[in-house]
Amino acid sequence: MTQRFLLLFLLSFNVFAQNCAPVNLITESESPFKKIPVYNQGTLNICYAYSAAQILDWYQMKNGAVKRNVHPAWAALQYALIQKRPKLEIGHPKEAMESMRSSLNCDYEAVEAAVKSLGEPGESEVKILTSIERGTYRSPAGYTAVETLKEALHKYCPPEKRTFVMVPEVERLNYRTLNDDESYEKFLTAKLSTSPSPVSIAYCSNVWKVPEFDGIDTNFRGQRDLVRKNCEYHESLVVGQKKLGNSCHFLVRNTWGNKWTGHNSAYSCVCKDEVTGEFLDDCRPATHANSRFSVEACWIKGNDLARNIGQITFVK
Amino acid sequence: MKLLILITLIFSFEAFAGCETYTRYGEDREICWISEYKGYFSKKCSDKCEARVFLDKHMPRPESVERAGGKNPAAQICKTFGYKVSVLKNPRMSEQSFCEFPDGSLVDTNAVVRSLK
Repeated sequence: MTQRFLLLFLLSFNVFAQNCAPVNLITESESPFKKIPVYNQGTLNICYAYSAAQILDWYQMKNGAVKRNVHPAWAALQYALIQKRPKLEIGHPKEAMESMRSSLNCDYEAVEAAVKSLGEPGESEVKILTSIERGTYRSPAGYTAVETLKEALHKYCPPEKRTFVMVPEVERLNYRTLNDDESYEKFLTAKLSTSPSPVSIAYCSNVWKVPEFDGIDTNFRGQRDLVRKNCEYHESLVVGQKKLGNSCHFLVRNTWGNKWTGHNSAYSCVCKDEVTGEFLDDCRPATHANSRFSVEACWIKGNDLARNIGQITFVK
Repeated sequence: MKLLILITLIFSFEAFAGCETYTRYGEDREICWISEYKGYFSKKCSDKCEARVFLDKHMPRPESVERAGGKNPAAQICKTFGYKVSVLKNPRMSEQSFCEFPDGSLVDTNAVVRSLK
């Protein structure tokens, strides 16, 4: 009931939705994203936890925290423990965030130290986590990935060292909550216009490679029905919007590293000049190919993205 | 002769103008931008390294790359070719994925993708 009321409330802001009021959470002054690095999940399948960690960090910093402190691996572990799952991979940001209400938070550096203790010298964090997840790490006999990580974290971050983390009220729409793609686009636009905050989307990342990709099948009534089997489901954050020509474009912050620029580097992005620290809003391929620029997020046409959105997770 | 040395020095400096220390657990790595490839490499690639040899081959793009769950597609392509993937942090803590070759050389996975036919 609350969800429906909220939907009606947000969709009633049609004027805003059509206007696609400019929002850029990366470049705004005092943006928490200036203190949250661009992550790279590599071959590890915990995109949902990267979204959850970034939203929580954004929220903490908006409420006075001075640095990022939620480690994606911690969010993934708490999610797996609450869901009673043996592995960290594949999940939902809403539940990952909510799981931290009861588990509290473990300092970013403590999680790093715990993960490091599980690997060989010189192995990267993502490599170690991937090895644990795939079972190629020598876990104690019978230990799952979750048990292995949990034990390491218990040593480096015992319960008395854990700290409180403010977890906001979080809501989620799934791919059939609204009838058509356009409503998802309008919803995102209204959400960003009325209360600008990062929104997590689960979507078919095929759209970066094939802009006309349509990841959500419709039924005979033209209503959204099923996520197509070839959809490469992924979770990212929408952190802005602006109108270009006649269409609204969304700014997507990915977790594929600070040199990711969409397929074939074709997209316009928001880049950070690593020398001056200044942001460039319309950073085109010729610029983001330069080593001096770090890619913070990229713009994508609103209806291309909306055709591929499976879930939207947002702070109420 | 002196002029030749000077020119060589200038060119090698330009090619590696953007060297920085990246970190991963237990070790620091010097990572340099090589404009010829528009990509980041480990410093040993200033001369020859397996990473450069691989890029110069312009391998065909693999037909199927496992992508379930939104793993980084560039990292997945590196894995498909049988190489290790390492994620390193730059001095500003942003993360970049690298393809690691048997001789220890590194190249950023986006440069690998760009090199494919």
